[in-house]
Amino acid sequence: MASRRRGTLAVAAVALYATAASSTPPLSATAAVAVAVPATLVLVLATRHRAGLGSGTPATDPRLRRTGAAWAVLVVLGAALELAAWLHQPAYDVASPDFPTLSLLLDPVTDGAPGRFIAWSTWLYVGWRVVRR
Amino acid sequence: MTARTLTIAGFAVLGVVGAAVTLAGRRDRLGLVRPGALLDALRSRTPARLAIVLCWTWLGWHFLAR
Repeated sequence: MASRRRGTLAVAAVALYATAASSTPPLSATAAVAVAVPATLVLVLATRHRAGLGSGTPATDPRLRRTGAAWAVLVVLGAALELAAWLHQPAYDVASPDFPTLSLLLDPVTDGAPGRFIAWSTWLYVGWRVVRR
Repeated sequence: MTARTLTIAGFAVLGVVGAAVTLAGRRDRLGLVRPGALLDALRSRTPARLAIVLCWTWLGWHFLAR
């Protein structure tokens, strides 16, 4: 019961914060602060050793190792592709139309208000998911 | 095929494979577990938890603050 209430409160807090944060203009100081506040909070919570974090699934479970390996390969390939695209840019902050980065491809989605709200909500949810008990 | 098409195709393939791995884990297929179960196992160790938080912070900075 208490955990359900905590979950409901977290969802409401994420939705409220995402609504406010998604209205900040991109490339502005307010947008930077809007990211820095939850990032600092999550980082502080993550550095504290707290009992009850994580699941009872043993790390030796072969299914867990297989899943970890699959995601590690995907993340490494994605990072390599992003890095290769970024290195082809004429300058670090000038996008190359021939080698688009993921952020450039997602610009049409994250530029609009609904897209920004969904992106903010997803990002905040993941942060909460990492440090929740 | 242009470099642009190849780059976009690369991201699309990774996205589709990621979705397939997620679905397989959720349905207990291919000997995989849900991404949430993997996250739970990783976050029980402080170094892994900090690495995840740093990646998460960078994603927020890169996609939301810029």
